Amino acid sequence: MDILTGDIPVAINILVIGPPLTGKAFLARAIMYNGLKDKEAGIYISTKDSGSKIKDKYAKCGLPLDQYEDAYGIVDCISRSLGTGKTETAKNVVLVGSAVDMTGISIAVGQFLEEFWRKKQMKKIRLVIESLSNLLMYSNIQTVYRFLHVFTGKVRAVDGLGIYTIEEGMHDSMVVTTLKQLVQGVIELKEEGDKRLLRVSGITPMPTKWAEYTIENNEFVVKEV
Amino acid sequence: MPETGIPRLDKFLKGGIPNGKTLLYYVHPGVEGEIFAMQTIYTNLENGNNCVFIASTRNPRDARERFKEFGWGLDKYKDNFAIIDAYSGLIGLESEEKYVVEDPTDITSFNEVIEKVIEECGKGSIIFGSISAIMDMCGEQETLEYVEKWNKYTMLHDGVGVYNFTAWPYSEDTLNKVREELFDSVVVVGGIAERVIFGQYYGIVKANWTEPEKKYILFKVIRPGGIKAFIPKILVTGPYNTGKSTLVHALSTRAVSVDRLATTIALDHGHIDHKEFSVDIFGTPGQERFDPILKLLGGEAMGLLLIVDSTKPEEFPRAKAMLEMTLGYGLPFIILANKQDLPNALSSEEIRERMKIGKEIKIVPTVATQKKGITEAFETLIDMIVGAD
Repeated sequence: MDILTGDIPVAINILVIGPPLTGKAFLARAIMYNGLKDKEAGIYISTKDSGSKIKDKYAKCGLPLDQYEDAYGIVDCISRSLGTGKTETAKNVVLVGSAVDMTGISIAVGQFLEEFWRKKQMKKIRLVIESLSNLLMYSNIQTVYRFLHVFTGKVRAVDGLGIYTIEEGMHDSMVVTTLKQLVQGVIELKEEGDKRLLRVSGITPMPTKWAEYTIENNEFVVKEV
Repeated sequence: MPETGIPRLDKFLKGGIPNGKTLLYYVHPGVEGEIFAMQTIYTNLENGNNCVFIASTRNPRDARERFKEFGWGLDKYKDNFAIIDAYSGLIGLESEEKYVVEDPTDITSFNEVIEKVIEECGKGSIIFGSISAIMDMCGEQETLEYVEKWNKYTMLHDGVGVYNFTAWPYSEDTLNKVREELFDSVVVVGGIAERVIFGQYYGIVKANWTEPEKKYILFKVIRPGGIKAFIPKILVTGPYNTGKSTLVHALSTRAVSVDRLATTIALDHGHIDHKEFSVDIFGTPGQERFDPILKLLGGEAMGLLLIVDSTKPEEFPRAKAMLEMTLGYGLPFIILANKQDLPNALSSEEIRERMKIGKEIKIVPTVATQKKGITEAFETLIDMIVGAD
């Protein structure tokens, strides 16, 4: 993405939108991972997969989290939601009651922020919510909007980078328009024939041109425009 | 009277929450608020009251697990504790609970169950739920109308309603109504934030059955244990070799000293978990050359323990000078007349006379080496800091 927009500015929230299976989650994971590689902190809020599954996904993509033990946290909104009595806590993973429990999510994120930003003095932080579509399955747009209003504000307050994925075609256009008001940038992904394309808007004065991208050898590669 | 079980809150509320009344924990987003209601519930179960918990954002089994995290087993209260399951219906799970809200997005579905529960549970029982969670599901205005109804119903049946409300950016009207109008008492739970939240506090906004003390208390959430009032800095000072390090170590759950040749040249630091309090104490060196440290710490402390050697009246002027150095900050303080076990130890009253200390100031006789009198001195100071009665 840096190829398209230059450096990513700080204190910014970006919505990643695209049809299913276009690599939104991969992109979000890669952005957080690149931060970890640069000694930044990362907080991953998963409304889809358990904490251990997120770690597996990272590992399978050739992006093992183990080496950054002190720099990342996962907020797992899934493991407890089915009431299987599962309370085991893995290192770096905080379990929240469910994806409906936005109060719980914001407390968990707050605790990680305090640890990284204040105690460990890591002043650069990347946060991912994957995905907003799952939040919207159980809560209405007003509720999610209020939660994100506070959340995106917090991201900006700590000069962080927030990445939020959302499925295209799953919500009506009013929902997406409402959410766009909360972010400073949007990355759109789409498929055309056998090509995958993306563009970025909001960060540069005009949206970038559609650029082809591929996911090969565990890398998200945007081809030069 | 049902109590909140939150440190000092029942004293501020003049005993607790009278039957027929409601209390709202008004919680800022990102601050641990649900634990307040959980602690209130557990306290009341221990006191023999019936309690009902509305689970809106988590599975009932998970809600019970959360109590366990704080060391609060619910198994022994099977007959006194129930959960209203307002979660399973939302995600299409079967519920095992006695009380189930079939459609958690419909306020009338909530109403049916809540009215039934208030009727069945009887006098003095606590009903808890998150108003904001219900509002998010059923709509703001609809929920608030029904909350008014439930509050009246609670009053009629002599029950007690305890609610949480996460103050998300709802409309100003809604926030005002929740904070000012709907409930008999409101306790605000907030965060001290400078970009990230690094401290948490609570305090009473209103309580219509009494003139509540409007103090704010810092707190920490301890697992297990629950909410403890947090006092970040109590200073221990006094002349050379009066027993400051001994006192810090004797009081503390854990402590460290920075020592050289058996006297403190930098700082003693101790942490105390005592009853409902979590306290950090700092001991300063006694020699005059370290006075700048004393002044620095005095500016940030919340209270002061001044320790004197009861056998050395010649050092009292120095003790008084140390006191004056910190008193400019208006700290609550007490004096510990230490080494009372030694021959020639002066009594508290003799010390008061020699130091020319007014009657209003407490002087507690202590023997720090034998841990005598020190807990009493510590508790007296804590009471002065957070307000005792």
